[in-house]
Amino acid sequence: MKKSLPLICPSCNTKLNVKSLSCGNCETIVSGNFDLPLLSNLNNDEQKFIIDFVKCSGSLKEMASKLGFSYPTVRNMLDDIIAKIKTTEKELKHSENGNKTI
Amino acid sequence: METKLFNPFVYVAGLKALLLGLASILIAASISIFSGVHFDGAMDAHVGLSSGFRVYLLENVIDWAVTVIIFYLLRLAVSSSSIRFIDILGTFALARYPSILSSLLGFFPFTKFYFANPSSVLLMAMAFIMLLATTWTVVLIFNAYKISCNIKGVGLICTFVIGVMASEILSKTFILWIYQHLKL
Repeated sequence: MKKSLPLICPSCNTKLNVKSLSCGNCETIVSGNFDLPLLSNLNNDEQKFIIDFVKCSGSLKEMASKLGFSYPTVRNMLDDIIAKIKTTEKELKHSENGNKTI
Repeated sequence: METKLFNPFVYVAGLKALLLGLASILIAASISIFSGVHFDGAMDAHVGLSSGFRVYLLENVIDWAVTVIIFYLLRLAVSSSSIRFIDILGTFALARYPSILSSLLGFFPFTKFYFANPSSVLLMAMAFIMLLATTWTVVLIFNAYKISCNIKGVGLICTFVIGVMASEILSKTFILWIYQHLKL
């Protein structure tokens, strides 16, 4: 079963951070408080779209023929992802500023 | 199937849609020579006097061109998304393909009954089929606008309503002006 990375706290709905990371080889554990990368805020389909887009060298035409959709449909998908990234960036900046004031 | 009928632009846009759309316009104009169906407004069609191919073609092209210009200008007001003009041209041309169905209506015998007896049930039937074809075209234009211009939400609904009304009024006025001033 493929597990998806939880992003939001089920208790208080706040964005989750990474508390610890472990090495699969020697089982070393690194503890701290790390932010999740920006792209992890996107869902699996959106992440796959970005990976495919990079693989297509950023060509929307190639993406359109690969996905079987028209050019404007693919461009609209990309616009939606861009809008989501911008919103997430703003939220992260906002929460960073909030932490600094505290 | 539903998407292909009402929103083919998910799969087809740009030059391919433009060529298919222009082919639809040519077919509809050619059928109209024999059926007498005029497209004297961006969204509607009527059975009228028989005219030459140039008249029917011009009506269809004006309907398409006026719609494209109006919606392109409206899009500038509400969307900053980078779009291709060829997608607007293509999707709006393809959105006119139900006009092939409308152009066939002139062949049905009830259109002759309509002129003889305007209050008949056949008139209702004809009006209903015309209404279906018009609604189909409006739905296609809505989806063409939504996809080619990438507009969503309230802005989409408001500009679409304004666009439909403006296209209908301007295309009708322009076609009427051409009837009066040009010898076709």
